[in-house]
Amino acid sequence: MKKNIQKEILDKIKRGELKMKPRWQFEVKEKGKKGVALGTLILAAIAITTVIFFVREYEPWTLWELGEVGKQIVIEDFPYWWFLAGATMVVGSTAVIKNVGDNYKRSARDIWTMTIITTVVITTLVWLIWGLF
Amino acid sequence: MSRQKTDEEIIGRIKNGNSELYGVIVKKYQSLLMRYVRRVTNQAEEEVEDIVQEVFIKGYENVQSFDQTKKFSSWIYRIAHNLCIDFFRKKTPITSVIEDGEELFESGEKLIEELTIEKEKRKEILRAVEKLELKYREVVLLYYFEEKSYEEISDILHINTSNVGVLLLRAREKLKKLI
Repeated sequence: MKKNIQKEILDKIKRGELKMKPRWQFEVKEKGKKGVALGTLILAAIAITTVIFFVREYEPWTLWELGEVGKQIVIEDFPYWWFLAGATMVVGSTAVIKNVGDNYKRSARDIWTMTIITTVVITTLVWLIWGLF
Repeated sequence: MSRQKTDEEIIGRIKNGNSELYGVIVKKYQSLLMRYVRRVTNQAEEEVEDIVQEVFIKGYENVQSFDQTKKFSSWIYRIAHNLCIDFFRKKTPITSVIEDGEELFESGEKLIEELTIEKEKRKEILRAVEKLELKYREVVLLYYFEEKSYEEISDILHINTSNVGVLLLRAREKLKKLI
């Protein structure tokens, strides 16, 4: 038998079985997504700072010239996990940003450019705050 | 003379507590969404009705998230799209229930013209559309049969307008091969 969808929906509303979710829930969700994306980028910037700090302090190219021992030091001490964590967080943040508001209308290139520029800006700020320059 | 209210104005009043008006929205979109969901899922009438009812339930629950500066039809079709995806995640059906192509082609003349095929081959197109992967099938159904613009399809499928064009182009190529 054909359903009377209109009647069923209105009856549910009248009986209070179907209710609107409050507007604040959606606002919190949207701001939460932006917060997660920004937080992830800040963590990525910290991870990138660590990698840059390693490169600056160790100067791997000078160690490389020392031969086998120097190469071993670079290979063993390189902060792989920080590098991997930074890259993963940038990718993760890009995926979140793509799902915020109307960002689906932007091309992948625009989203990546936006993420990379933001990461560079945050990384610079982290360096300034930590006095690493 | 009173001007007829737009869907967005009606939704504005529903958001402000005039829930009875939701019946007007259900009445207006029921048959459109039934047709769309039927074509996307290829399911029997009862299954389609259940999905469409769920669309209206989700629509009402989430109505406060609707941005009135945008088109309501794109928003409600987006919910239908999401529920069709959920349906495919739960089930693996695709058994054709469409026996007559006439209803489908009430609004699909443009596709026949673009594929440059004879009108007698309508049923073949119908079968070919059914065989397309979901992402191509949806974009073809929305553009040719629901007569949505690139902008509206972009809002429904959450992809950018150039991707809509690319999907349509590939879908047409696939259709030509299938027919």
